[in-house]
Amino acid sequence: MQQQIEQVLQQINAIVIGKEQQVKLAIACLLAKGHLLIEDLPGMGKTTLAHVLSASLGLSYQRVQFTSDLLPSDVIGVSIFDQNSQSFTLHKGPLFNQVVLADEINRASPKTQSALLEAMEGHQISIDGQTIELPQPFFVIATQNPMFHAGTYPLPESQLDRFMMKISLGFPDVAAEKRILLSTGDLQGLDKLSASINIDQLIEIQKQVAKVHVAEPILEYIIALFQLTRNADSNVNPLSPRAGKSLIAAARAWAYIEHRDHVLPDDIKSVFCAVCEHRISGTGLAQQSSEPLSQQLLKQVDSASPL
Amino acid sequence: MAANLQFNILANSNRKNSSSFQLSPNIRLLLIISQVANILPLVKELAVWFIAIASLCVIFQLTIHLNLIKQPSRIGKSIVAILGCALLVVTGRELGLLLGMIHLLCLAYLLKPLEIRNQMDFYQLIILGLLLLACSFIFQQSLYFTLPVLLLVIANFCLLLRYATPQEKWQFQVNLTTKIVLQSLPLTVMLFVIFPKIAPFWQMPTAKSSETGLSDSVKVGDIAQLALSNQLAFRVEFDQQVPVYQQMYWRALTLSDFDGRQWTRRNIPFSQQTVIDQQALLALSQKASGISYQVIAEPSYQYWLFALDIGVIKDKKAGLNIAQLQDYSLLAQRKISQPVSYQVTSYTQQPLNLERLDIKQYTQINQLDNPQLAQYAQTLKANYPSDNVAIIQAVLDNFREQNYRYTLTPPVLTNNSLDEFFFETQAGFCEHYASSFTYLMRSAGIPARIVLGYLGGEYNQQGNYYSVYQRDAHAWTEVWLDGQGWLRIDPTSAVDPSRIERGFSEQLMLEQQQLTAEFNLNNVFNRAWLLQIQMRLDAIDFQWTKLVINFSQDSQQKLLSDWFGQYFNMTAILVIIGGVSFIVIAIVLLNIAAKRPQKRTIWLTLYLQAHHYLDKLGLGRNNDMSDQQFIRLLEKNNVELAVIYKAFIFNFNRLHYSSLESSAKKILIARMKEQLIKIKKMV
Repeated sequence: MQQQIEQVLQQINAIVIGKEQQVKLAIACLLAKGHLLIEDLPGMGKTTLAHVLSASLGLSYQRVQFTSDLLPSDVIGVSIFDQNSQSFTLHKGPLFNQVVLADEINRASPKTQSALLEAMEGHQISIDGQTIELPQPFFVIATQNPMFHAGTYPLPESQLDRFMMKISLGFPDVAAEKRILLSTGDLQGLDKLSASINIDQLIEIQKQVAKVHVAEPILEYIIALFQLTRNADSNVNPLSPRAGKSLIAAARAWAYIEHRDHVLPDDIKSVFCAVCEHRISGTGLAQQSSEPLSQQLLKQVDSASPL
Repeated sequence: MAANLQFNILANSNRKNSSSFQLSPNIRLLLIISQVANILPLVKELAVWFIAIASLCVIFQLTIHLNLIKQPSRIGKSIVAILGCALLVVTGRELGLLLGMIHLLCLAYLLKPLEIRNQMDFYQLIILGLLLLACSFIFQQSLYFTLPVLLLVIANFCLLLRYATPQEKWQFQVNLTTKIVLQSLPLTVMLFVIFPKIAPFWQMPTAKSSETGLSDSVKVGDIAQLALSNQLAFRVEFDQQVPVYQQMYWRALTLSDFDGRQWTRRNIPFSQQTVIDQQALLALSQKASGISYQVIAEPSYQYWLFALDIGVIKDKKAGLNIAQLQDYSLLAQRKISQPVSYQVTSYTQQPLNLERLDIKQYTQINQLDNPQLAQYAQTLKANYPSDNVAIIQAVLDNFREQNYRYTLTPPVLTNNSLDEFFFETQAGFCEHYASSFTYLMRSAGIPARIVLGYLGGEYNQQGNYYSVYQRDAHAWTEVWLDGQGWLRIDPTSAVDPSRIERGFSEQLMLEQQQLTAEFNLNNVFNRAWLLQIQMRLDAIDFQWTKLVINFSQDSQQKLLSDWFGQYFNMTAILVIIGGVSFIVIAIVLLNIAAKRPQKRTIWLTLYLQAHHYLDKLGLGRNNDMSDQQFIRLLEKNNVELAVIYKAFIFNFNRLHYSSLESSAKKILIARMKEQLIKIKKMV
């Protein structure tokens, strides 16, 4: 199974050039049944990443461009009266796909944002009193522009919390950028990408990820880290137990990708920034400190003997 | 806004980090002041050289405080400590165990500020200070000593609070401390009253202090020296009847051996002392009515206790074993190192004839010591054959009629010659007269002995008691007359009757004041109200001594049975206190056990050990470094080390973070140990 994950990683890295770490985090997020938020400037490869991810995993994929006039029905679907059959038939929205790319989510009105986010949490959608299960696996990749951009509705903390990870791709390094500049850059070829894994296998992997062993010292390490944010004199948003569960799930997936059956502090350290940074730094305020807050937290706890 | 998000967690982690512990200059200065204050109550007991060292220590710390010099290095500190200890060892024999230990404690207390490395050290210093204050009570317990020391204790608490709440005003700290102390008072009083005073635990250590008051030998000049002391010897509270002043001869001990220079008494162990005939005593107490009173004796570091004439101890107390000797004196088994009280009934009208006289012991004398006196005795004997009363009268008349002077500054006598005093200088204090009188009596064949004790006492109206001071020390003579028993003859009364009737005459008082050169308030303001205040203060101190310091096992038992009547039971109290303390100890222990970190696993110890070695190489691992990153860091320094560490950390990770069977664990631990040895070798 792990070999297949390796293959997927290789496939994606061949197209999304120079972003191994972020690609790995995205895969881990998917394996941990979480949703992914990518914050970056336009043109950094957010869409490409989402597209390649779905293609190489053999998942159905749809992209929704969020705009300020987008309505919830545009996302989840709508029942329309069919003249022929004299009945209402459901026109499923783009959400009924396994991978949904919600592009520029912070451009839509809060109403539409929350429709999407509720679907993410419940894995089901209610239309006209009808409850419909979403396909499995269900993976939302949302992108947002940095907060200082015009025409954005920032996601509130409670909704940021729904995303397991927030990553940003960032500028590529010189060598990678050279390759990007020379590449053809059309997304058409992506459709021809053959999936190296099928859905059953993916679900099986997700089940195995959940079984990765988490030892007592790891729990202590996490609690020690979280306690730092809960101290009276720390002025970051305290981390909730749900954040802790997300952290463990992500670390399990990371350990699985690393061919291990147990979680190491290194796994926590690898996913910690992605999982916790958006939770502790609050409503997407631009981080001007040279070092992420979560990195500062990691520096304060010794992983081997945390308490 | 981003600035608001800056972390404050660093401030928090600082508290755990001991290396950066630093007392604020303010606290440091207060600490030095508190050290001086805490040592002050003990200063009387400390050796002079030690006080010099202590002053140096304080000055040293002050200069450090003012940044004039730097903190001494570890070696410097060690040298100072070792030097101090060496000095203590050298002088230890002289100081004795208790004082030696107190010196050691003081030294530690003075040097400790040089190495306050964490909060614990600071607390330790404060506790040490409190212990020193407690130690000062070994030597003194009077109320006017206790109160300032208690204030010092509170001041120490204030300092602790100042350290804990540096941002608060000092008024707040003083208020809070006072409040806490007041709140703890009821508990203190309760514990004081009901906590069982089991003898071996509640006994004060006996300090090897200089003996005060009378000694068991006397040569001329001794008591004149004593008369210069205004120190309190004991206090007496009469129950009803008070004897007249002239009759207040407080007997302490009798001296029967004269070696030509000084009068001594035989040194016999307590258990072999000849005790008075108890039957005769009992008969006496049934036949006659006596004067009963309570004596509260100040510590004298001697064995002697005081009573009028034939004193009978009423209640035998636990912890205070007093023997009534054949010469009617009272002897305690232990040295009187703290105030003791005892109830006595004295039979002043009864003759002292309860014993069978050993004539040989009381007439033994070497005629050659003072040949002139011996000669004079022979003349007297020839003049009044077989009339001992007449002989006595003749000698007393001689004292009265001749130009004898009673003075605190007698001329120096060569070889303590009584001849010289009696026939030439004719000036002396009570022991001169008692000595020569006794010598004369013995030479004339009349059994005689010297009695040491105190005469009179100062009446305190406020407290209705008498205080007897060292200056009231007195020596007189007892002669044995057949049929009458021991008869008190005080030759001093013949020379200076006012001494007997009222105490020191004005002339003597003046002498005393000149000799002691003591600043006496009475001289400056000779006012009645001042005397009144003095008396009142003394009366309060008397109550303190009587009620608090003398609160012994017996008084406790009595008090508690007064309160609880038949329900009182010492065993019950012991059981309750035992039970409560058991529960408290159990709770404390459980708390400690709960807080104690779980026992480290072997592999974690090995891991920490390895990092300890690597730290020494300057290869510290940051908390946020992953294994890979750290291995890369090692590779830059030492490839071989990196390889070993890689294997080491791999084993550690498997042991620490995955679930393994015990057999697999053993193998991995063995490997880790090997790898640790290799790492150690490389370092």
